[in-house]
Order: sequence, then structure tokens, then C-alpha cells
Amino acid sequence: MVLLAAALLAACGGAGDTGGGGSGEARTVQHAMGETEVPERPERVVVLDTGELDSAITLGVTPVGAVEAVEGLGYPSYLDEHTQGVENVGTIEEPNLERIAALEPDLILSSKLRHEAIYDELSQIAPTVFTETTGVTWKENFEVHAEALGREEEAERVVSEYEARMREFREALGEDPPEVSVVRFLPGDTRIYQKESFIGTVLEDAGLPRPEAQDVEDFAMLNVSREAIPEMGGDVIFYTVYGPEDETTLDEITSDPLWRQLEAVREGRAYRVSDDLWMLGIGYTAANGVIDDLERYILEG
Amino acid sequence: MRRWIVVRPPGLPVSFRLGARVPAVLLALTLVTLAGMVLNVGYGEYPISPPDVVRTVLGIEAGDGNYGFIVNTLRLPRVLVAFAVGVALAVAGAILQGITRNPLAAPEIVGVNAGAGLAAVTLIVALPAVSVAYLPFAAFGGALVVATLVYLISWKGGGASPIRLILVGIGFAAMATALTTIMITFGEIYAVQQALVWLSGSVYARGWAELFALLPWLALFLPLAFAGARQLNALNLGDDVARSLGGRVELQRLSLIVVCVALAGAAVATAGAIGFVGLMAPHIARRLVGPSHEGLIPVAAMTGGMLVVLADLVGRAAFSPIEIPCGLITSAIGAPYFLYLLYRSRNL
Amino acid sequence: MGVRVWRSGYGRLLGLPVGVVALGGCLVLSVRFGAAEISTAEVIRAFTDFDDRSTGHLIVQTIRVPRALIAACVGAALAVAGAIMQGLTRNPLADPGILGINAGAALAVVAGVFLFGIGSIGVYALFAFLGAAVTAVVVYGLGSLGRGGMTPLKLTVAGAALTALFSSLTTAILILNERTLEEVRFWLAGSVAGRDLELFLRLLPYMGVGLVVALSLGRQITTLNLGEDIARGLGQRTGWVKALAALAVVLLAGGAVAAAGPIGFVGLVIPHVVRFFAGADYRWILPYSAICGAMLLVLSDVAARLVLRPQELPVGVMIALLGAPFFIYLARWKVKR
Repeated sequence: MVLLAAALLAACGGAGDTGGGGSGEARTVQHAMGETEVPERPERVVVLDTGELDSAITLGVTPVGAVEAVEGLGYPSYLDEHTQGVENVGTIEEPNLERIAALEPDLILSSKLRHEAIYDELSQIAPTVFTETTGVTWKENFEVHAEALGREEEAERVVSEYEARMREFREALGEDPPEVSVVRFLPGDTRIYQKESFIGTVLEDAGLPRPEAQDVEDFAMLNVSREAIPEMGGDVIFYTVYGPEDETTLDEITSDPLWRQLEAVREGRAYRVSDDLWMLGIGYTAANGVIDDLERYILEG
Repeated sequence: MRRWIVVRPPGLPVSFRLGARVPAVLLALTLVTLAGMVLNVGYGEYPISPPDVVRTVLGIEAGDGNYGFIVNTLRLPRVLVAFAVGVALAVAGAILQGITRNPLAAPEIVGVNAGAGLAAVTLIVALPAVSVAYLPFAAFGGALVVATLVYLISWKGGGASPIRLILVGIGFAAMATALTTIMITFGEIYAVQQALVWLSGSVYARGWAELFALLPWLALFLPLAFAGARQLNALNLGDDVARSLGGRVELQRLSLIVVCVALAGAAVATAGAIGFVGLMAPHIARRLVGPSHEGLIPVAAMTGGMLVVLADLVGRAAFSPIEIPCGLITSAIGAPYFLYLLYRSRNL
Repeated sequence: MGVRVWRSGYGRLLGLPVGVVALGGCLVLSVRFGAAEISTAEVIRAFTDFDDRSTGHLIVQTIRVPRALIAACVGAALAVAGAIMQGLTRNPLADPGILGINAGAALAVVAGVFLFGIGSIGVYALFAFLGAAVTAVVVYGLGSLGRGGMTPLKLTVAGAALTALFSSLTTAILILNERTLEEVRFWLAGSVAGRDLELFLRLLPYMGVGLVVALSLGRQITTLNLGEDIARGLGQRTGWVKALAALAVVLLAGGAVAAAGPIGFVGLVIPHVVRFFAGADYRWILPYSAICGAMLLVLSDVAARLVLRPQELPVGVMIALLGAPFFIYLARWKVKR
């Protein structure tokens, strides 16, 4: 595919303004916004979403710039040791174009869903590669990121390691895997996650079944009321908290008698896990962290 | 006694007269606006001195090689969009206040913003795959539909009274807002978020594409607005007087409303709800050059452009590095002004 | 004919218990239906034979009953506040939402959280009352400035203007504090879901006082509605009546906003509907408004729970969809300039 695209481009005479930097000769990547010529092995990468950040770091590239999900909250904590010195270029919603330009990147990664409106500006700063969307398509996105970063071999290794770990996990799980429920507490909002999400695909890979209300090809039940607490039940409950804890619905739900009635809660099998890892991360490094949690709480717990 | 300048463009069968102060006021406003633009373009992550700004805009190589990109790709189109949006909103507001004879009328009060917001969010929910490039069209359509409904429903006994226009507009705004909330509940969460940010009244990351999409509307409807100035003067005296002056009142009013909605809709479609500009600018202009619309419309236009350009500058500078949407800055200035207007218009 | 029988004192008196029974029916519906499927038998058993290990019983007792009661009280408060405002200002478009009182209370709450970091929902109430009171005074003042005193139009436009002003200020505060005010943002949509029963019980006395004051003013407001000169001619001390009525509005609307967030249009629609069968006498309009307002909000809340099940819509949205067309209808066909 890359070869074909490169050949096409050579035939056309190689148009397009693709900033400097990088090493080696340029390649052409096909992505959600068309074709873009990128350096052989980009070194100064700016990522504009948490999934792209995870991908880059998974592939051994420390970005020069990244965005925060929420103003002032920093990067996902599970990536802490890799994000030292990564310049903050604003929030996902409004990246600061000037700061990105000042970093003189040689590749920008994001998605059409997030930043279609500023694609033109971004691609004038540096070659910009978009995936269509984020979240549930994280594995395909990773392929695109790997191609754009020129690190397909590393990517293959990451994927096969992940699959091997998952195989091991499923074997250790045995014949009767527990039903896993996933709940997220946000400020003023409670969500019950279903299958069409990052965490939904990871749990599916792990061979973990979901309770009936969550075994649905959809993203999540948003903004559920306390009446929906019974739907949060399962053999094991994993819950995460997004944002400042006392602003979220955590206390309202978990202090409710209905919550305390849930079998998993009574048996001490409701675990609070990292929101950064389970919800925000979206990538192979995050997925491996989730497997760590699953091993700890399900295999050993 | 006010003095007038009569303008007769050679070869055209029109003439109009301007208050004697109009040219001077316009010149002063233009200078302030230009200064605001230069400051705005110079301010940011990369501070650029005013002379370098001017040089870069004029295409003369200045200082750092990056200036060209920062100025010409990021900051200049943004500041021009801010200006154009301000112009459009101000003229729309001037027309609306003229038609309704109500100094408190503003495009947002007759439901233009709410209609635009509803249409944009609906588009995202109904057709999730559609490109954000179509949002402005949806917003424009929504503004137009709501404004048309407001006008039609206000129609009674051969006319749409200004009072009913405002009241029906309030009702439609409430309904559109409620429907928007429902749509948000249905929508794909990230996409809806994107639409809401875009509608929040900001010129963040607006580029040449947005500017060129907006310009045809201005090019078409600003001259029409100016041409309607005399009718506005007549309507301002009341329907009966306007009719006795030989005006076909309803037809005039309808065509002026079309101009008003086109301008306001195009502005909202480009930058979301930038509140109170359509309200403030005509008032400031009236204070400067009096109520005659030949002078009022251009002065209001320049005032509106100036307000949004300065609001954007303040919004970027005040809480740096957090960027406050310029719509909030205009609201923060506009709201107290509005109260003052309410007080002043007590003899309405 | 039917209407005439209704409007006789006899019919109206009989109608009150009928209304109370109907309201009871609505409350039953509200307790019966919700996001979770619970059979009627289970719901009844939740009252007769409560078992604190039964999920269904817990849902009924801890979620649905409080929610239905809060909805009923908020609806009654808003409707009575609207009726008083309409009677007092002789403005058919008056409503705590339209005249900006809800928006004022909401801004006060958000500003309270922003400036003083009030964390406990209990303090919301104080700010809501304050905001409602200040707004009521400002709207009334702005609406009565100038020649000809207060007109419906001036009042409505002043209310709309203040609503626009307050909403944009509220938005500004929310944007500056995106992280910390999400909870308030949800509250702002106007909802009776998951409201704190404790908070509500603390608000109840204020709303109760407001309701008693309002109901006892029925005769005076009827007279005042004929015109201030006539009322004064009949020996009424209009200043006192107005002050007491305003106090009732602030207690009722402020309490309702603190309990459920800004919910518009209840106070607009209900008094008009009530007038159709209760006539122009506020001694009847006020109690009927209380009953019908409670019914409207309870039923709307049931609908808000069922249309998108298991997700819920804020009840304020449901009411706006109903109320805004009614407002347009009034503005178009009923208001003379």
C-alpha cells in the first residue's frame, strides 16, 4: 500500500508542503483526510489526543508536544515516566496552534472526529495524519499511527505481545469466567460502559463476559439515574472516577442502599481502578495496564 | 441643528445624505480597529512587534522566518473573521432595532442563535458521518427557518407587530434550546462536544476558508442593508407614517428582515453566538452619529467589527494561557450595557 | 353549561378534592414507572411489606417516592408563583422562568459556588433565594420604569433581557471553571432526578410559608388584578399586598429552583389552564394552580424517564417543549399591545 502510494506520488511529481525535520526520505501515508507525505522516521511528534499519546509512547517515541484532556489535569498518570518534558500544547478541544508551530514538529497525529476543523492549519505546520475516530477503533488507529511514525516492526511486536498476554490470561481464566461490569463516575454523570468502547474491546479480548445490560453493541449508558444501579451488578465490578472525586456521582451512588445490595459489592469484589488507564488511555500501553489490573483482581483476587 | 452632507454618486440614480460627523467618526473608528487588529495579530505565543506585523502582512520578509506562517496563516484570518462577524452582527442588530423600533432588539432575541445551534447539533446527531465543514450551512439554515417561523407566526391582521416579533422570538428560542438539549442526549458524545465548542462564540482557529465563506454574504447583504437605510428611517417613524410616506411597509419590513437574518445567520454560522454585539454596536453608533440610518449603518458596522476584534484580543490576553471565547467577553461588556439600555428605554 | 356549573362556587369546591385525587393518581404513576422494571405487585409490597434486601422495594422507597414528592412540590410552587405574578402584574406572560427569576437564582447559585466555593447543596438554597429576590426587584423595577408604568411587554422584555444576561454570566463562570462545576451544570438543566431528600426537607418550610402566604392573598390579588386604582378605591393597602405577594413568589420560586434547578413555563401554562375552569377569582385560581402544577411536573417527570429509557431527560426540557408553544400561542393570539 505504502509502496503503491509512493509510486503514485512519484508519478505526480511530489507536490505538497511538508515541513522539515526527520531523517531519511519521505514516505506517503494514506489516512482519514487523504494522503500525506511524512518523514521516514519522524522524531518531533505532536499528539492531540490521549490515544495518540499512548500509541507514540508504546512505539518508543516521546512526543515533543501533547494535549491535556482537561485543562490543568496533566497527562494520563500511567504514562508519567514517559511524559517528562513533553510540552503542553493546550487541551484536546482547543489545541494551541502557535505553540504547536513553535515546536517545529515533523509529524502531527490526531483524529478527524477531534480536529477536522483545524486540519488545514495543522497540515501547514507539519505533515498531519488523522484517523477517522477514536476509542473503539484503537487497534486500527494504532496501525495508522505506526505507519505514520515509520515503526511498523515495533508495532507488530507490540500487537503480538498483547495477543500472547491475552491468550495466557484466557487460559488462566478457565472455564467459568466471571461477568465483569464497568462503571464510570463523572461530575454530574454516571455511565455504565458497554461493548463499543476501548475498555469493551479489551474485556472482550480477555474473554470476560459482561452482564446482560452491558452486553450490548453500544458505547455506554450515559447519565443513568440511581434506578439503574441494579444494571451495574456483575460478578466483579470495576469502577473509575473522572475528575475531582467530590464533584462526581461516586458518593451518591456508592452510598445508596441499592449499590450496597449488589452482590459484587457485598462480597468485596467491586474495585476502583485508574480512570486514566481504563478510560482515557486508549492504546496498547493502557491495555497492558488493564490486563495487569485484571490479573490482580480476577486471577489472584 | 444637525448638518448634512449629501452624496450623489456620479452616474447612479441615487443620493443619500450623511450627518456631517459621519466621515470623521468612521475614520476614527477605522483607525482604532486597525490598531486593534495589529495588536491582536502581534499578541500571542510568539509576540510580534507592530511594525513587523505590518511588514509581514504586506509580504515583506520580517524578523523571524516563522512570522509569515504565524501571521498569515493563524492570526490574520482569525482577526479578519472577528472583524467580519462583528460587522455582520452589528448591521443585523441595527436593522432589527430599526424595524422593531425597539432599542432592545438583537438577533439573539428573535431566535437566530438558538435556531443555528439546534440545526448544527441536529446535523451532528442525524448524520454523524458528515464533515464539520457543513456545520455552518446547517447553522445558517436553522437561523433562517427559526427567524422565518417567528416572522410568520407574528403576522396578524396584515402585519407583524414589533412587539409580537420579540415575544414570539423568545418562545422559539426557548423551544429550540430545549430541543438542542434533547439532541445532545442522543448524539455521539465527542461529536456533540465539538459542535458545542464551535457554537460557544469564538473565533478560535478560524482560517481563510471560514473568511472566504463569510465574505460573499457580506458582499451581497451589506449593500442591501445600506440601500434599505431610507426605508428604515421611514419605518422608524411608525407604520402609519411610513405608509403615508408611500412605503409598502410589510414588503419593506420583510426584505429588511431577510437581510438581517442573512447577516446574523452567516455570522453565527461562522463563529457561534457572540452575544450582545448586535445590541451594543447600533447603540454606540447612534450615540456617535444620531439615528439616521445612512450614517448609522456604516458606523455601527465599524463599531461591531472593532468590538469583536478587541474582545478577541482581551479574551486571548486576559487569562493567558487559557483562552476565553470572545463571545463571553462581549457578553461581559454587553450585559451591563444592556441593563443601562433597559433603564434608558424606560419610556418605550 | 358545564363550565358554568364548574364556575359556581359549589362546583369549584367539589373540584378541589377531585383534583387532589387526580394528583394522587399521578403520584402513583410516578412511583409505578421508572427506569427499572418493577411490577405493580412489587410496588405495592414495597409499602405494605417493605424488605430492605429487595432491590425493587429500595428503588420505590428511596428513589421514586422522594422524587415524586419533590416533583409535586416544585410543580405546585412554580405554578402558584406564576399565578401570583400574572395576577399582580396583569401580565398573561408572567412566569418565574420568563421573567428571569429562575435564571437569577441559578446565577446566584453558580456564583456562590465560584466565589465562595460553597460545596454543600444545602447552601444552594440561600443563594437561590437571594438571587430570586434580587431579580424579582430588578425585573419589576425595570418593567415599571417610564411613562405608562408597567406593561406586559416591558416586563417580559426586561425578563428576557435579564435571562440572557444571567445565562451568559453563568456560562462565563462555567467556562472558567470547567473542571469543578460539572455538577452544577447538570443541575442547571432543571431536573428532579436524584435530588437530595434532606435538602428538600430543609426547603419545604420556606415553600410551605410561601404557599400559605400566597393562598391567603387570593381575594386581594383578585381585586388588584382589576387595577391598582380600583383596589385602592376599595380600601386595599396595595403596597402591603404587593410586598407580601412578592415575598411569596421569592419563597416559592427560589425554593423550587434550589430544589430542582431552573424549570420554566410551569408558572406560565398552569394558571391559564386553571382560569379556563376556575374563572378569574384568585381564591380559586391559586389552589387549583397548586394542584395542577404538581400534576404537570409529576407527569412530565414520568415522561422524561420513559421516552429515552433507561436514559433520562431533564424534566425542565420536557416542560419547555410543552410550555414554549403555549407561550407563542399566547403571545400571538392573546396579547394585545
